[in-house]
Amino acid sequence: MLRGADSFVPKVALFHCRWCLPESDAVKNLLPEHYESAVSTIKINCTARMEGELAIKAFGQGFDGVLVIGCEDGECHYESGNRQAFNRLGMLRRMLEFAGIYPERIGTIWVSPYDPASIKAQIGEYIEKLNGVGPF
Amino acid sequence: MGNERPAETTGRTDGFIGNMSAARTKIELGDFAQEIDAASGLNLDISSCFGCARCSSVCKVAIFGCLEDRITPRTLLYNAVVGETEKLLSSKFIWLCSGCGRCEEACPQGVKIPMIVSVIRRLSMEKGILNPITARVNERVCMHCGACLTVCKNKAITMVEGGSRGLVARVDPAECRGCGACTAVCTNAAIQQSPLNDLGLVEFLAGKSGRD
Amino acid sequence: MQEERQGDSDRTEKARELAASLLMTDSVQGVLALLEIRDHVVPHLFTSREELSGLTVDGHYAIAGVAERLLERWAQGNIAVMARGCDERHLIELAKKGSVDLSRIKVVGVACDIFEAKACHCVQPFPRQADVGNSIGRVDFMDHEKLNELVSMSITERRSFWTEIFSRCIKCYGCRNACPLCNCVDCRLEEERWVRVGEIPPEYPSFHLIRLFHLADKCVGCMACEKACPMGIPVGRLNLLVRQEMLDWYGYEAGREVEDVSPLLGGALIDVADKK
Repeated sequence: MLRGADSFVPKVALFHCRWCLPESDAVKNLLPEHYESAVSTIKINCTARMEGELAIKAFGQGFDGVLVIGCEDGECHYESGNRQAFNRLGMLRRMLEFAGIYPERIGTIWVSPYDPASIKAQIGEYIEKLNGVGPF
Repeated sequence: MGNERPAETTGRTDGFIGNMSAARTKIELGDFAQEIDAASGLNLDISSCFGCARCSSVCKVAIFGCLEDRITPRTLLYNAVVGETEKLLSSKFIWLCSGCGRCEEACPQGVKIPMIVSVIRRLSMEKGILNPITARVNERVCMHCGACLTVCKNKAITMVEGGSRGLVARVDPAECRGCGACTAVCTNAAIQQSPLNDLGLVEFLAGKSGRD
Repeated sequence: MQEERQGDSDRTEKARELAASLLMTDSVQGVLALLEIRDHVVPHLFTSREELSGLTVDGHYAIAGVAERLLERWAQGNIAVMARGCDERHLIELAKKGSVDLSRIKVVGVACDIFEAKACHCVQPFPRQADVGNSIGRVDFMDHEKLNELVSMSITERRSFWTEIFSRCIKCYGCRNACPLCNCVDCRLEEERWVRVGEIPPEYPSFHLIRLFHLADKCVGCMACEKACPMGIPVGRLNLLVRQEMLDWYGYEAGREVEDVSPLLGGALIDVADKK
């Protein structure tokens, strides 16, 4: 079940790169049922654009989680943008943990546009973990 | 030059291959193609393309770019040869191309497509067209710390004299591919990628826009 | 406020001697060090031997920021800087950013004693070369009680700890102002879109965590931020935890060498989360 025990539906800010998920509308089809309204999506050119500040600000603005979807290793359109995001967001997670914020709130999934089933499954996994940690 | 097709076409809806062989024997390289050759300083020999489309099959922009004009590496070369200048100069393809080189790698004829795209970008800028996704530096605020230079894979950023502290970073819009990495590392928000600048993203978080 | 300790007078004497000999040469315009005034220390550029009787190496002041501004004002000329380990690391980090020209600075290294190291929860209380004082070597991170406490807390305990503490913040920007590495023109924390004007305490967790994130690969652990906070918020401690993390996972330490490039700016792919 993807709903928390108290029917908590987390508010998620979803940033996806335009090369692994070209259409923002398509993202809606990859979300678990009932989560469409809870997820705000925005398309960026590359996950390299993800600043730590954005994720931090998201929490301040009432989001419970931030999900970043980018290309698999080796597939970045800009060569290594995904790697930068990988390292940066990994560090951000550890930092948040020191401040008492669950690292599960920052999700990073690296996908191929040719495997929507896998994308859907990974998004589902992230939301389940987020449910587990509750509201921000 | 119009979209003239030689008398003998293969009859397929995409009479591309037929056109290309005809182009090689009957039609000389158009002015635009020669301009491309001249501007790059290399003999790019665009006419060696025989339209196999392996380049397009590995091109992310062609497949995922969602471009209205549907320019692909193959059609880009075709349009260059037949002189469809306007179409190419005003296409978004040339700005979304990141120079990744997969097309050149895949090409059995070794056509230097990324370089051709670079040249078209420069020609386009010469004609007054702006790079729609380039980053720009606010020179008053830049601390010349060099972080953006370090992360820019296209070497589009250099340190030049100027600004309020003697040195500033400067983006060459002809090289910038719009990835946004520079914008992410600037603590100062001095360099901003357009259109995904920090104001837009913060507004998204504040719920003011549901942008795609 | 400084604690009185034995053996300090030797250190201070040595410092004054070194400053005196530097002033006799033509290599520097002055010696930037701490001047004792009543019970406080202030940064001062000593330019004559007569002033040296007020020079002290006790007391804590993040002097690198002053060095940066001095060199900015003068187009030419060199200065000597009486620098503790953290001050020297600041200078190296500032040089990485191009904010300071190290060839214009002569560092006189001051080593901290164990009390000073403990007061700052410092793991590296010494400069490259200890011209004044004796280096005690590295102090293990876990030997610092307060840091140990934080690390041993559960995540929910940490959450309540920091939420309560950050609620005391009056947004005086003392932490930001005291930090020599926070030298951005147009600091993001003063931009409406990131931190709203007139909101006290500032939005949680934006204000403090954005600063923490910016400093992740730059903070050298001087604790000036914590000392500056009028509300007793132990902000510096969080920075120290992140600094240790950077060392553990990337082998990276801010302020070690000017040539070092931060792993957050590219480099090898390391999933920090995997390394549990």
